[in-house]
Amino acid sequence: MRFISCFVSGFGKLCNQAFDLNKDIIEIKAKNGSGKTTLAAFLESMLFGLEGSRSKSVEDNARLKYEPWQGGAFGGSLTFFHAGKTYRLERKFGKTPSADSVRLYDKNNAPCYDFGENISRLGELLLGVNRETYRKSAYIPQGGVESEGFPEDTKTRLIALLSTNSEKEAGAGGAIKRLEDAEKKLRAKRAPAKGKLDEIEGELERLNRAKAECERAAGEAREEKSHVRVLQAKLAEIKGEKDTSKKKKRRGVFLVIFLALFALGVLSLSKLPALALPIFALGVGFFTAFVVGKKQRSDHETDKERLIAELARREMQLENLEGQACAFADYQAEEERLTQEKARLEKRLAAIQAAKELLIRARSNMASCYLAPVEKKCKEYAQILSESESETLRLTAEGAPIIEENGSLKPLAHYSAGAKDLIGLCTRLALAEAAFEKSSPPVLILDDPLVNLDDETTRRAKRLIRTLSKKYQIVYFTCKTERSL
Amino acid sequence: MKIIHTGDVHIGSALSALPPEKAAIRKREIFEGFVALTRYAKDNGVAAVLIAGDLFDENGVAPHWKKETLACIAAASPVRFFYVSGNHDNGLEFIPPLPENLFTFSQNHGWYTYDLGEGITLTGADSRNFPQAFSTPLRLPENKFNIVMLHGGEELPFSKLQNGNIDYLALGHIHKPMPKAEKLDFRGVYRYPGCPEGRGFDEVGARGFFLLEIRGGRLTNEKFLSLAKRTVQEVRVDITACESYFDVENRAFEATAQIPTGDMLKVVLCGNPRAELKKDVSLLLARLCEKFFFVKIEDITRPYINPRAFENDLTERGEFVREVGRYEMNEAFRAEVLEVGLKALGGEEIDL
Repeated sequence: MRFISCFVSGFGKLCNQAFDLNKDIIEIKAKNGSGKTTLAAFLESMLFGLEGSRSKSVEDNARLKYEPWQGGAFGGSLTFFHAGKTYRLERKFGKTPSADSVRLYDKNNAPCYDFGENISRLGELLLGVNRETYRKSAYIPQGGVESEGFPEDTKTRLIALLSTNSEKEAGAGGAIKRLEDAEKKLRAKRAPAKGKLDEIEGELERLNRAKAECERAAGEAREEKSHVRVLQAKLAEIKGEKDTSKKKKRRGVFLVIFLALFALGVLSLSKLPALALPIFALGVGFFTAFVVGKKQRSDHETDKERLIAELARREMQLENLEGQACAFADYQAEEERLTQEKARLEKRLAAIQAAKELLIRARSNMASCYLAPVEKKCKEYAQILSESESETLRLTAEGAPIIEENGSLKPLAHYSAGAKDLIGLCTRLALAEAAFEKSSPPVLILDDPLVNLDDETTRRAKRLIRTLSKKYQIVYFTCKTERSL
Repeated sequence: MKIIHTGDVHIGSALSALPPEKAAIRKREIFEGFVALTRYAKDNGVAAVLIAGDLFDENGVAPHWKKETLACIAAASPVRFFYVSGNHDNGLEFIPPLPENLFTFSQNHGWYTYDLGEGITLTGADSRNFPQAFSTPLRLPENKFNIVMLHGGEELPFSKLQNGNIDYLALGHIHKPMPKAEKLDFRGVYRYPGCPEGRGFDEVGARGFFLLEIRGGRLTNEKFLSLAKRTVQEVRVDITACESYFDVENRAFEATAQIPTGDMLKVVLCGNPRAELKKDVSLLLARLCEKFFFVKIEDITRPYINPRAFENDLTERGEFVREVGRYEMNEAFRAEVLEVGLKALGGEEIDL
């Protein structure tokens, strides 16, 4: 694929501007704020369209960010050469992706359907990569090769490059850490820390113990109930044995007979002393019968009172036990609720663990897929970057750059930040080449990537870029003459 | 004669849908709902209240619930309360004496009939006595308005209740009220009044009891009345188009704007939002809980993942999506794995 020209109808600050792009290296040199990055974004939007976003923040919403400053049509056109044919792609952007329009024309300005209904995804069809990958490979932004936090081995650099977020915390490494944090919140690695699941399990154990306690109370309540029933039966029986008036009358008769016999005995003492003794004996007999009757009555009353007191005590005990036992249902309800929550969290934990494992695998797959070609390319670039026979830039087996100078090896880490930037640039370019290996060579868009490099490194980097332009069309933006190619 | 048909009050119910502190409040409210019904009956000249089973939730209900319930029935005298036991309170034992205005149906171990006056009879059987009750078909006097009260669902042998001169079959067991009584046979109708208060999230919508008016041997009027303190509501919130938590919260509050704050609310988050969307269900729950008595959120969203969007993604995001696709797993689980993975890759915290 090769860009031929573009026309910006309205895109950010750019308005009705045409650019001739039909060269191996398109160098756009202009001062800061003149719209270089906007043009780079325009070229990306021509290939991939503009993302939709509801964000009110200009930084997060490309449609707000690049809405034409001067109003009017939002969009433009890109003329390019692909597979032996010249096309003109025209895009108009609306407030949302659904309001966008995209048209493709051939060199005679006739509507063209070579890519079917998929022209909104034209960039993906032409380059074989999606927007995300394009940004990681063919488009090298300002600061994209910074040396800060420079990982020495190619694999780590590669992973950092292919991570989905430019922030250091994001990307697979950050993502794995976030998944691990979530995992820990659910299941603590070691005591005394507790995850949500550990807490629920602790609570479920407590509920189990409480339920067992309720069951014990229920068992005791059953026992107590049988005691209560026995007591109730006994009491009913005792209440049934009423102190009948007959018994009372009989006791009264015994007392009267005793008193009569006693009086008779006293009288007979003077007149018939021989009869006095049997009369007294008989009187004593009736008196004994009266006393025994009275005693029986009193015992009966005491038994009844004792039974009533015992029954009241047992009934109270039964009520207490039933009260304790009926908390079982509440504990069970709470257990049910927590068990459901536990099941939900366990599923979540399983998903988090699976995501972590698959992310690690994905990272490993990705690195192994690109590592060899990127390393190969880096080595080729190292050859180009080597200045003299006395100095050779090399990569170790792990991909760490070293400089061999007069026979001695020095890790690049000992060298300047500029030298590290150079390796960073090599990795990015190598990844771009590896990413587009299967599709047509892309147009590399370099948005002043050498901005941090010193003069010496810039000179080497420019040489590398010029070499690459033999293979790829390069759009190179810069704001300084020193960095001009 | 005015008669109330209710059932399934479930006094003392444990309420597993609610956390303990809310369950305690709600338990008391369910009892208070019954108290309100007895007061309504007393204040509005209702002659009889028919309780079609499950007045209590468990046989082993806490003794104080039994005492309080019997006291409130006694306080509603002269309204007469008729009560058949249900499947939940079948083995319930009351410590005598029962209030004079409470009438049960256990006397014959089968059917038992009360004459309510004005040519109306009420026949019922406790759930535990069904085998004896249904051993012979029920035949009631043809010249009376015959009400039969039972607790039982679809398993009831309806055929044995047909053509026995039943005019109104007052049922219990099913907690959803039946707005219109259904035909039992050529003569009578049957109805489930539902429970008077919603307890869990399977009891969504209005709950109450039915007030019947029977005059001249005919059911002349019937209406559904609700004295429920709270209603259980369910709202579905589609968050497909949401771009941020802000949108999710706005949608949830918009969808629940008309719901009284005292209600119990279940919010079902649904739709196919983008995988990276920060839903923050816990925060949403906390925010909604500030407004409503109790809220439960069920998240049944499936993240929208268009595999085509990732086929040419050579970054770790694309490789992750492909890697997830390489393994066999349940589709709901796959969606969850993708959701947490993409969220983590996007720099978002994972919702738990």
